[in-house]
Amino acid sequence: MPLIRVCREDELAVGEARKLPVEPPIAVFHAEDGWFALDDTCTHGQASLCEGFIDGGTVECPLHMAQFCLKTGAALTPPADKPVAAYRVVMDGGDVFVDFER
Amino acid sequence: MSLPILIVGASAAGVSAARTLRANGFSGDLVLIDADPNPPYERPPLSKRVLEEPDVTGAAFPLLTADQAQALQLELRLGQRVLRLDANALALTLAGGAILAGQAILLATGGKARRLALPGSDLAGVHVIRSLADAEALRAELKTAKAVAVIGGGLIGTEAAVAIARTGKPVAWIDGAQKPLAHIFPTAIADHLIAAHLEAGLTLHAGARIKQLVASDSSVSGARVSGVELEGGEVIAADVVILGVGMAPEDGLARAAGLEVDNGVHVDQAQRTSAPGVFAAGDVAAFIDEASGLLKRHEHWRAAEAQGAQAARAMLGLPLADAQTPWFWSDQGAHHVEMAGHRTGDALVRLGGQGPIVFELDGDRLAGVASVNEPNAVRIGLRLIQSGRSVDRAVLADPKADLLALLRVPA
Repeated sequence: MPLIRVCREDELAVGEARKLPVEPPIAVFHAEDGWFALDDTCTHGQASLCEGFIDGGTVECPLHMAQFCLKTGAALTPPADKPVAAYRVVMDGGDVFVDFER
Repeated sequence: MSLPILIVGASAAGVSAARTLRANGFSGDLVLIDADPNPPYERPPLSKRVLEEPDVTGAAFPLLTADQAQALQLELRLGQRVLRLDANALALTLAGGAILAGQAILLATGGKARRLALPGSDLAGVHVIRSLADAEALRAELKTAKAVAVIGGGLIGTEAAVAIARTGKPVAWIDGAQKPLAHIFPTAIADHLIAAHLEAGLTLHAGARIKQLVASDSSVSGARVSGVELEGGEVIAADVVILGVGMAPEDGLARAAGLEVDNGVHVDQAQRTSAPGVFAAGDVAAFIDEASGLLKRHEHWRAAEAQGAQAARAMLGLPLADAQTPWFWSDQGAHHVEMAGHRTGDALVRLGGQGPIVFELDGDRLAGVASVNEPNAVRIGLRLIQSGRSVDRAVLADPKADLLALLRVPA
């Protein structure tokens, strides 16, 4: 299983996110209750979820406010009605990795 | 057999109501009727993407796919016009004569684009943007257009003007106000957008008093528009003219049925009209705005979606959602604009980011927030408005200060 290194744990504060330049891109979020990884592109528009607003266990699309569950990728509110893929995040030795398998 | 729920209008409010009814366990028959023959589509792309992309169709931005409609077990009656509402019998008469009786009816009929009561406003080449057919007809004429004039400095007019300019056409942007967009957004936001749009190539005619739309040859019946004549005599040449001068609620069914109607169908917090069993939601619904005490309609996507969902909850006797803080967006070229809450006139501008952020204060509380390309500031502001907590003006104004900290401090 390919692990992709994202960053050091202390590089991203709670509420911040980073985009992994894979194709299609993956967004990695540091939320209050942990680290999460989702497909970066909103299923409604062409927006980048890593630029979205992290609120509790959700991220809100920066364009039209669709909310996705950080844990599962489920679309929680319109205008999105399709989920984004979710990936496992692995912490190892102070580094953050995404278990990247499509 | 119990009667179906009838929804008139398959756009944001109507589809949201259908989804919410099913999500909350309504298992009876559900009928969604729309005069528009196209499968339900999103309207926001009509003033942007459709005008910029020559080949895009409604299938690229569905509001409800055929699979979703099937999964929701909806009876879709598209291309069918409702002629009459009988509010006592809770029945609809369709063009063609069919009569449908329901246990409840939702009017989500939206609105129609206003036209100008000026000579020439019905000439060939003069367009409005409300339906997919409108946008496609406009796009077909834009292919060969030499000069375009957009009348209106609101959201639809501005979005369309910017989208068409991006395709390389010269666009005259004509507004009666001295400053377009300023009736919607705080001044700093309007100023920023106007400057950006002028730089992108729009030619602004502000404070314009339009006398008439002139034809290429007025002696020929069916002549095409050739320009917009202002009262001073100046003619702005244009072979395609777009009227972006607002909408009127499509409230004729309710009016004829004797419901309370005045610039929209009057509804309460549960989207109930004055007739028991008849609900209204979206652009057609008018309600008393708590902040101003005035009768208002919210002509925005999210309001329509929320109102449709609220009507569904009310039909099922479920607890109602709290009143939503108004929020809307507008995409104008590369400029993503958002606004939440309302303006107070006590505005504080924060610069230094991707675009201006304006906070509208009511004493030490936040009442409104708007931004260009800084959506997360609006999302934080929205939560500050909803929380009703006091805010520190110094933090709001300082581009280096963390806005999130305002949400984290104990109330």
